[in-house]
Amino acid sequence: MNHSEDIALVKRVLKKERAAFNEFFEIYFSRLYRFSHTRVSEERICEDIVQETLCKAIKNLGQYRGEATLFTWLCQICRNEIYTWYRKQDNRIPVTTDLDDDAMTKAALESLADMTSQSEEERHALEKVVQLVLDYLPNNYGKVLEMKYLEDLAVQEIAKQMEISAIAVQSLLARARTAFRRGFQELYNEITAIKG
Amino acid sequence: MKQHNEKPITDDRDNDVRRLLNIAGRRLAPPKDVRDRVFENVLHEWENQPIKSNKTFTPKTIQSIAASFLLALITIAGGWKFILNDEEFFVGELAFSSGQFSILGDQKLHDNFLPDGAMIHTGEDGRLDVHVLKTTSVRIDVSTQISFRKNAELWLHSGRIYVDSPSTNEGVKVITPYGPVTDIGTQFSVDIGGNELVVAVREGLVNIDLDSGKLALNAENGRAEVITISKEDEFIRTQVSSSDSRWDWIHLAAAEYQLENSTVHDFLIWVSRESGLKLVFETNHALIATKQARLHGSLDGMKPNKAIGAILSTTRFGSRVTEQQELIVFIKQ
Repeated sequence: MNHSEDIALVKRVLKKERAAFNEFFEIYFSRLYRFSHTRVSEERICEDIVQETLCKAIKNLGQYRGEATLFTWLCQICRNEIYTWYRKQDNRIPVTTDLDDDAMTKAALESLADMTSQSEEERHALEKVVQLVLDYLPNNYGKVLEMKYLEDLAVQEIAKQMEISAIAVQSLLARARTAFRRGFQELYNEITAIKG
Repeated sequence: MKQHNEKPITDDRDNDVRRLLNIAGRRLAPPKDVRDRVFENVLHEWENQPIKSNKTFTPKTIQSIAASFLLALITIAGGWKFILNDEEFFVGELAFSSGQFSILGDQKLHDNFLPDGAMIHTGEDGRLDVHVLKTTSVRIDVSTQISFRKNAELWLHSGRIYVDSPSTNEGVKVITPYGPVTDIGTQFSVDIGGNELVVAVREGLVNIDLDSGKLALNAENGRAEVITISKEDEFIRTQVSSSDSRWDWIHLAAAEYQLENSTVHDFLIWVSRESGLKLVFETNHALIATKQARLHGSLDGMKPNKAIGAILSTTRFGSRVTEQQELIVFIKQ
């Protein structure tokens, strides 16, 4: 799959368009920070890791070919940075797992079947899963879902804030819901397959 | 701001999304001061980058660039090493050392990084831990001579090493006078002493390429497989426990585990890998709880098999080891 929007953004950043750089930073900084924060709890370390990740990404942006989403590509750099940090600390193998390969994620998904019996820990894990799925969605999908379902904003209000038409918001919401469900469902299917 | 007079755009079918998002709440927003600091630094990095393109090169342009590059290399011979990036030039990183060791020939360590072809010789009290690839640890015992080369090739000339590569995406090739030993994501040791080669597989699968044919060693259910091969390619297979004392020396060739602020989960992973035990959580609840509990203090030289009891006794977790060498972790009643 070729991620044409990501490639287009990368090309503009490489051509030194300041607006493109701002867009790149605003889209990915928060996501990478959360990605790092789920693996390294200290804020100061997260800051260093994300900064190093983005600096390395900027240096190597010309190598991005669009085989994976830009976020996936950035996460790989971030994983390496996290690993390097752990190794410098104490030689431990870091527990850096992919979203769909994390035992905690799986445990949380298993608990979905019985929402009423969730413990605090499982509920916390579920929160993390939902938030990670949101981060893995294409740009604006997570944002529009939060505006709609958490801030309870009307379509017109969302349209105004995002500077797009109401029809475009409805379309975006529909695609975002589908993508969110698909992301979640894929993980859920994996769990049910494992459980047999 | 909510507008109540708006016609609903969705029906009950979006309740699942609404419900999940409301359980999760808003995503963590990085602190503004952190965002501003990182922004300034990344912007500075970006501003200092030359204008580049990520266009795909054709074979012809690649040839042309390669020719120019070669010419440039010849022209500036002497400084060429610094053009190559770390990943191409260095083949490992010295993560720990105790006792005496030396690097033979003209090769030198560069800030603990090993250049391609570096040959290490450990003294009678020397032990090392060298990291290769992304997650593989190579422990080197006393009186061992080994070369590190690119493509994760370890040329073992004499002595004993232990390889721990937890990722199935990684594997190393240990070249011995008897033939190469290869693995993918496993734990094993290779020992060249006297007139024989001893390969002991603690976890996973290892292949040995002898002149007389291929041998495969497999460890499972807590049973490690050991093969002793003579110079005549005659071999004997035996089985030992995956927590056998033959691997006790590996703890002396690595830095002490840093307990302070580690999660119980990370600590258990360390214990299980160092001890050759398979980590099993009695319940998902136990798994999640170990990820959320943090430890304090230090191990003060305790080996993993001693540390597990001592450390867990201060927590709400308990453990037991089964005959199949499984480390079962549970929440104490």
